[in-house]
Amino acid sequence: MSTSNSILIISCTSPYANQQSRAALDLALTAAAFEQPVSVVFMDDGILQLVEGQETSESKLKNVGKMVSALSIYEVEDIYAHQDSVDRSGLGEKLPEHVETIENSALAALIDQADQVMVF
Amino acid sequence: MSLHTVNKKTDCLHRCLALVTDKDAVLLLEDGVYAAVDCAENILLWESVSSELKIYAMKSDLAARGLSDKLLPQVEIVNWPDFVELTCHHDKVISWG
Repeated sequence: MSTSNSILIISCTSPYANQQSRAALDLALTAAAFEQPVSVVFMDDGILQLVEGQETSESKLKNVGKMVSALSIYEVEDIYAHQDSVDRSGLGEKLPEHVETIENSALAALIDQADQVMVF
Repeated sequence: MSLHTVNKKTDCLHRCLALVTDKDAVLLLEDGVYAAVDCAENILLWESVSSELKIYAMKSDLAARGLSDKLLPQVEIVNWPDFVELTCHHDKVISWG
């Protein structure tokens, strides 16, 4: 199977509000497992998924922070945080260092280049 | 050239408009058609985008919501066969919610 389909995932929801954040990450990990080129951008409330130190043992929720960390294990390296969203959140320092920020114009270019774009 | 669809009345459209380019089109569906209404808030909303951007609104959704006759001049009303045509003429379809 040599046809590859580049997928850009834009994840805009907070980690524990509903299933959206987990669905986006599941899609990223699955596509990567099937060797499809995947990029992930966290935007608006989505950047809250990147906040380090999420501790879900008491609340019994599935830990979204751990799923985000799994991205690099599955070789999803192109992970971005939307610059404006980071600025508005005031959480810049709590985000992992390996996540690059991305401005609107660069993100528009990523959208243009991808074969498929899915927004969660 | 992407076709962007918006079907909710929340911040989905704002997110979309921050990232569209001149050659794209935006199709308002379901509750997204509320953004086609001629009112101060919507005039301001669309002001930030290029006049080249094509804006479409789904006829049946406008009718269902009683909005058919108070629309912004730049919005073009389309039906389901038009929707199919639009998806054929764009490289990809992006659903913003």
